[in-house]
Amino acid sequence: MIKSKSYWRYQILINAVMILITLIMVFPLVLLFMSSISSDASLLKYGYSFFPREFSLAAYQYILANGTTLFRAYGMTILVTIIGTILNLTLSSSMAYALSVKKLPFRNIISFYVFFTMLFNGGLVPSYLMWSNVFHIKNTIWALIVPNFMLSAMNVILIRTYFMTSIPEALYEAGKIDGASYFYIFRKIVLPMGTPILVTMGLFTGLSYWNDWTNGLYYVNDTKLYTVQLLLNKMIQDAQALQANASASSANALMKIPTVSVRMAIAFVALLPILVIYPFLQKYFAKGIALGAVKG
Amino acid sequence: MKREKKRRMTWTQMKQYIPLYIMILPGAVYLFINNYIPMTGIIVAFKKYNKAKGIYHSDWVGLDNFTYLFQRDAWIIIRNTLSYNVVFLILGTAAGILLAILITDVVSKRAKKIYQSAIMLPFLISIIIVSYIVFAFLSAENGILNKGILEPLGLDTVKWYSEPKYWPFILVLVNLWKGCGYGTLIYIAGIAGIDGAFYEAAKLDGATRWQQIKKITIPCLVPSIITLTIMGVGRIFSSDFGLFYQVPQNSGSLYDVTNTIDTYVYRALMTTGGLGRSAAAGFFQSVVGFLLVMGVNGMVRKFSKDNAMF
Amino acid sequence: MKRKKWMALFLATVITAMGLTGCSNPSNSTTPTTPKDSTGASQESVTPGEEPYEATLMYWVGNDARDVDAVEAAFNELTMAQLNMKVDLMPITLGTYTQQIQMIMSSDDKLDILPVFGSNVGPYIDAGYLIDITPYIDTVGKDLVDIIGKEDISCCTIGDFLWGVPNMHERSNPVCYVVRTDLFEESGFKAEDIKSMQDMAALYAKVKELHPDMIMYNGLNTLTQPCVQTTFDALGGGNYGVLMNNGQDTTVTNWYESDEFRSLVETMYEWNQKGYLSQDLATSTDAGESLMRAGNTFSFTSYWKPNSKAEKDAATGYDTTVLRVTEPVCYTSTTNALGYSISANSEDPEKAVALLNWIYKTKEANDLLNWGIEGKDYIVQEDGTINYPEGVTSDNVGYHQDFGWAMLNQYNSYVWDGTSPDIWDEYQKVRNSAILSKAYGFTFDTIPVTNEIAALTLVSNQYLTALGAGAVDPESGIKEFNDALYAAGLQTVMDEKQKQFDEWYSAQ
Repeated sequence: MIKSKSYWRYQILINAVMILITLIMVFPLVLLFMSSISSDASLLKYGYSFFPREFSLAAYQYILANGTTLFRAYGMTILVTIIGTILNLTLSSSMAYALSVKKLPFRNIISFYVFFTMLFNGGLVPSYLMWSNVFHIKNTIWALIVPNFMLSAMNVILIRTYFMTSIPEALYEAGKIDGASYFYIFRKIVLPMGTPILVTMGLFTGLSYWNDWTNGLYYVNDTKLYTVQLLLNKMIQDAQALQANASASSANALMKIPTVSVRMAIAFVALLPILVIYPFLQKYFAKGIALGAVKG
Repeated sequence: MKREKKRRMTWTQMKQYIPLYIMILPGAVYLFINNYIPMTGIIVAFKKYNKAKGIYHSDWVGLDNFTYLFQRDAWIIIRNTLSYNVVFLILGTAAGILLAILITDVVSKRAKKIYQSAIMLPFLISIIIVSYIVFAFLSAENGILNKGILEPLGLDTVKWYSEPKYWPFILVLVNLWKGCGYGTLIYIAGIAGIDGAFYEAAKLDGATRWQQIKKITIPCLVPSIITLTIMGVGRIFSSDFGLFYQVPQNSGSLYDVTNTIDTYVYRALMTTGGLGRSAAAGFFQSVVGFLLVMGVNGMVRKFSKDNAMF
Repeated sequence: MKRKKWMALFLATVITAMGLTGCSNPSNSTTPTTPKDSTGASQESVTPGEEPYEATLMYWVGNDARDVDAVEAAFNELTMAQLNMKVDLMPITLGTYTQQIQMIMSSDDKLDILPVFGSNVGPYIDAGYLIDITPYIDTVGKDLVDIIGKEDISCCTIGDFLWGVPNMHERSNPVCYVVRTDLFEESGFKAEDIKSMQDMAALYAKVKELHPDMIMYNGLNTLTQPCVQTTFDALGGGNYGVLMNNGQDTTVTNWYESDEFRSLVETMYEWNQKGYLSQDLATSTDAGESLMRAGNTFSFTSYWKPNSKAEKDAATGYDTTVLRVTEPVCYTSTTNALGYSISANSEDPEKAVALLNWIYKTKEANDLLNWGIEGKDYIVQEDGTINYPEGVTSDNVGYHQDFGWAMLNQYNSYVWDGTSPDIWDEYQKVRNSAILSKAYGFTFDTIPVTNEIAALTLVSNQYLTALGAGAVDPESGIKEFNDALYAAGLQTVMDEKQKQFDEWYSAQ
């Protein structure tokens, strides 16, 4: 097929716009990285810059010295992310599928039951009381997986919307006539066709597990179970707590507050693995979308 | 009609749905444990909490815990919260749809991948780190804007953290920068789910790209847009604490434009604490969000039953 | 088959849900708060055959140590032999503490001794998180009285409620300016020339002239002199109504309307106009120490202690001169800034106080908590100070906190290499010669004015740091600030403070 002139003009235009947006998205992160490899003195003397005036790895040395468990923590993060994402997707997709069947009795009530959890919450303390005193998950790996992230109403609703709008109802019915069970339809038709949204939701869920440090902060004090984000965020939290309570006595400890470049390095260390893994995920992601587009 | 049928549904007819209920059950149980049981703790908003008596048996105090929410500046705080959220919601949706369309239209697979990754990147960074990055740009002494741009150009430098007038824009920009990846990805998935045959037919009819977008893409995205909007409306009285507290460096001079309900509650309770008071704030936000959601959902229901959330 | 399983799970959930509600039944609160009849009998003599008491000790630390287990084992060896107690150590860093403490206190987690910030205690008592240790302090806690002093312990009372004991940090917080010695000497000034904040102006003028690129003054935005409490007694609950004149007045007045406050703010504003201050001062979250280390900061404010110079030299990497500009004064809020309390979760508060008492008087206990295990984490040097053993560094040490200021009794513990071994005598000397506020021992109970305090906190957050950093014209700024304070209920708080103080004062 011969592409028209206007087609190419359009392609050039949208690529130009996207390149600009890409730069806007990426530049702050470049700045982050450049600050992390600059010496503190140069940052405070010459200001922040995209080109480090004085190269220094002191910030990374600081992190390595203060986070000796860093590599173990990476492992823990990856483990938690994988298990958590699988559990979350399993629960969300099956629930979303059932709720997408329009004839299901009580469907609206159940949808409301799900949605309601997004609006109201009882705050941290009751959750803590329950997980800690009833389920005793403190200092187990489940503390990092189960509370808050194993199912999100948002995922269920978004997946449900997708199933309802993008999978023709005829396909549901066709399966039924062939005598296929709901489980069968779910596995053989809905899941493959829902790949785009499942991949998207999987990515978001994975990210929320990856980025989470609150579960760790509340339920874990065994350093063996520390995740990367917990380790790094604790450095930041401790520093902020010290500042907030900067009394005479703590003045001595204030000097240990991570400095500018260290904070930037902390951010980069947390980001690095995602930057490494993300391109691989992208492959699946693109595949998922392509798969979805093929149908029909 | 349908209703009639449902009412007369017999056990044998119900039975066919059992597999579906089984699929719902694990998630429902999880929500019950993770959300509904702790949710009962909300009643502490109406109580004077005492540890010995516990959350459920403390004395009732009526609305005492709510009074602090409606003191000086309550109006400014509510105004800020609402207007930022409305702007975020509108711009976020618009940007998400626009970017999703642009990205799907890009032909080169590699470029597509790069753009997609790029818009997701800011989403990966925690808001505290974002505040450091923003500071690197805006610091009066060392920031890129002052030291790298304004000074070399011979312009007056700006003390960004004490000039309220710039902050509505800065906050909107930062929020958009950080958050637009989320919506975009959902809309990309939505577009991917649109039946290609629609477009083929439109092309045969000689429809321009713009017409295709208007007549096919956007209508097909409407359910996702409605879902995301309703969820946004539910949180219209809440705000991203980090964005309004950490990013402006908790600068007092900016309070008029950065104080939202969440930062207000945090600052108010910093010294006085209290389970009851923080629960009261959460309850207030939830109730308003709930009422708005019911309203919006009801409106959606009127126009198209299928697109309503419930 | 499958259905049954789910049904069972559902039932289990409902049961746990009910269990949760049941949890809140006051099972703990039945613990009597009156001491058992143990008059005279020393709690520390171990009764053979008795089940050891299992205690949980939470304490502040600077880092998550690698080898808490070894320290805990060594600690338990001591407590089992001397107290017949098994102690579960729960070191907690400050950030985690601030996030977790509310939850832990409202839960049924095992907890006996916990650290608290004195400024937060009012709401804790109100919620019933802490135990009044009055009944135990003269029996199982009598060593605490000897070590800390009755006067200082009384700083931990609100009304009649003794919520704990202060830890052993310094008892007064004079303000000082830390300046770089090389530039200071170059300017030709002498330490005797600087007696007040205002005296710094001439020094800054000179140094600025010599080094126009240097920032004269920098540091944390909350540590500028107008923001810190030094020459007045705030009585607790924020600086909303104070006793002026180093706490020698007995009438509660508004500090923010005082001439002294105005003068401090005006000086700051003037410095800002003259370009002495960092442009970021109003929002700065960087400590002066690290800013000076970077090389372009000449001075910052800090609190003065007998060993300030050594500390600041180490922290800044420069030879520094410490210029004290206010007198050492003892206020309740300084002494009770950090304390250790008994949690309402404690199964036996009397035993918990006995443990607290034992730690304060037992050097080995304090050494273990702060420095780890002798021979492994540190060795004692000839001069009596301690240092890392051969081959051990801060990177591979198993346990090393150096967090004495927040621990229980650092006075009864080794000092690290480089610190004078008689440092604690110097601390004691400063304490004994300091001016004592007339309200020493009194703490304002904020509960009757909680809403006002919340509103006032917001107002002072909004205005104070900006005023303190000289970013606002004092002419209009101070008035605006005070108008907002009164609108937020300052007068109510001041009246309540005066009332409570008068009651307390007449009883003295």
